[in-house]
Amino acid sequence: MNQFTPPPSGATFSQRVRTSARQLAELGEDSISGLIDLTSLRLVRFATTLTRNQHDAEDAVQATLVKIAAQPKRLHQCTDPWAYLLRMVRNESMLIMRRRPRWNLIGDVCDLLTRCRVDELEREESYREIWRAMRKLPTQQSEVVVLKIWEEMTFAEIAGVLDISPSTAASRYRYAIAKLNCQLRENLSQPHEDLQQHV
Amino acid sequence: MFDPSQWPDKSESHESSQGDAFFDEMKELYGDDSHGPHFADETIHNGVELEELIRGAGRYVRPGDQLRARILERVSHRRERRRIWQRVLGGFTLSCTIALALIIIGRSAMTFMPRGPSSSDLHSQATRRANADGVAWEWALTEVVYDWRRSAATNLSRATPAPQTSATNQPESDRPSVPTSRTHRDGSLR
Repeated sequence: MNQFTPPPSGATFSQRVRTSARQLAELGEDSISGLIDLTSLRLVRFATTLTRNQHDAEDAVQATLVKIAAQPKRLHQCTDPWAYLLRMVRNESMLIMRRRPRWNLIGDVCDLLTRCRVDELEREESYREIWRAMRKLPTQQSEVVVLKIWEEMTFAEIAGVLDISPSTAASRYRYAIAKLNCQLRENLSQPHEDLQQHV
Repeated sequence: MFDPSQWPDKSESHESSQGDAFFDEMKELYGDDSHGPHFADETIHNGVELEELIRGAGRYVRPGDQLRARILERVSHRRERRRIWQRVLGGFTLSCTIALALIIIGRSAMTFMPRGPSSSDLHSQATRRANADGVAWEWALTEVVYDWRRSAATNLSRATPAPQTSATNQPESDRPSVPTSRTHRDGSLR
């Protein structure tokens, strides 16, 4: 049973971003707050996957949105504003990673700012394991997983954002899911078995 | 690890329309008998599918509280800085335009205004006169300057008629005479 509320579909969200981009182009910089509220969560988690550090990810998102505020027509005139934003954030994340290479402890998710609903508290550890496992993936694979599952994009759309072919996106997704499956099967089943043995 | 025979039947394991779309897309990319992805055993934890877990983990992370304020502050700061630069650039452009306009106006005015001889003209005239008359160059220069002043005064009186004063009514003989080389060619009186 799927107990998660489905996020807005990609097309709907993309349309909302397009509307926000149009408002930004018409009203100017003052209306950037609408775009921030709409996209910051998604952009930050995408950038966090790339940079493996939420502070760097927020810097990348900030740089992107400040650039968009300075030249709002660029976002408004492009074919798919949401894909354009994701691509900008990806480029900014790459820049930050080049400038500030961080030595991240493997499996360390201390930098993450989290929130967990009361009915999902039992899954909090699972979520942390998933984030740890995602950080162990190569960036090329983890970004495909993010775009596929969190942004609900098709492989063709992912290919457009990442500038790769749809087949490459699909194969990266396949390998990423396989790795995640292995890692999470080990990590998530172990505490459960331990608990059963303890009982 | 991947076993194509374990390719899941979407009617069994993926009931949602989203799952259908995903498998349709994968079929388009790989075909029916393809090397499809290894999703057969993706139920990993308490019967929860892997994708659902990952999807839930996406909502687990939130942006920092200060991110929105930081972005707005940065945008505002950048706007202020741009305005300052626009003012500086505008002022610079305006002053350049004014300077250029003044130069153009001055040049055109110099073109239309009557000009007297320059110092080099006077010097060359003095040299010629000194050679022709056989006088000292300094004296020739003095005579040239006198002549020039006289001609300038004549031009000025033509341009603006002088008021009738007692000085202009004086007889010719009473006016002070200026000694020139035409009257005293040898310069012995000097």
